[in-house]
Amino acid sequence: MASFSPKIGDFIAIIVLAGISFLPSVFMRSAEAGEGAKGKKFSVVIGDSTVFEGTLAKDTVFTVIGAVGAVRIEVENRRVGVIESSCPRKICVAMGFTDDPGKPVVCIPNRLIVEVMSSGEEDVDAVLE
Amino acid sequence: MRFSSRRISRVGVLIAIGLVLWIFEELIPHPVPFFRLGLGNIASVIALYFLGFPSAILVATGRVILGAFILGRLFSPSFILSFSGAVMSVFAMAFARRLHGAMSIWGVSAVGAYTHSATQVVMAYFILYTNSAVFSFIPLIGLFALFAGLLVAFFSAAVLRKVMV
Repeated sequence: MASFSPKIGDFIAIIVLAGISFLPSVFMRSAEAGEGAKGKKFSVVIGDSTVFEGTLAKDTVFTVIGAVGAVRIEVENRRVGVIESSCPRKICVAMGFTDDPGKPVVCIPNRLIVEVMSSGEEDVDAVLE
Repeated sequence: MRFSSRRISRVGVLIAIGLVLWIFEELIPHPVPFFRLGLGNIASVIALYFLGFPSAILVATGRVILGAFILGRLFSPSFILSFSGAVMSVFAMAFARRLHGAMSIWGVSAVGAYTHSATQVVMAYFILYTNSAVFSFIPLIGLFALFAGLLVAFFSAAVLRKVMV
């Protein structure tokens, strides 16, 4: 009676349960892919007002007028950034492209902020570099 | 079901053993939730094999309730997680054991540990705020639970070999 050697059922049970462990992540991945197709949203703010809202899903180039002049903004490859600016030091252009809600692209002379909106999940409070 | 005094005393001893193991493990810091060995389950597994299902339920619930008393967290969220996990795992183990004897103590214990973790993850989802980061760890939680279940089976079998003649 007191025999505790493994049986074939043990291996089957363990393999099946190990397989089940991966099911939720498969579902989550497909849910994420669905969300990714929609694309994150971003907004362009000048001063106190939002002048443009769009998604990162479609590549576009457009121009907005900031406090000192024109700013050209491009959406490419699900990321958004400033490609041309009327400001003196072009720091906004140097900031490159972003898809991270915690890392806006900012042009101080033009009082412009290009910000990716958070999707609500996996929010971070702040990004330190 | 009437319990003989012999059975009552055995259940009491197993609750005490489970309690000590459980509190010992509870006092070890575990920064990442759900990654715990569940050494207290050793008492449940021994009770299931040595005394049967009703006693195993008593051992599991007794351990969790008394443990919560001692650590001062009766009816707290973590108590609800422990309690539901422990009870569900005994049910799952009794079920696995009944499966036409297809599984030995190793599989039964692994099923129990897995059910324990799975119940806690599901309950945590409903009771506590859990960010989605925890859910991306589910595969790891599951695999770790299977490993913990085998470890529990190892200790339980070692004890049962001595007790069950």
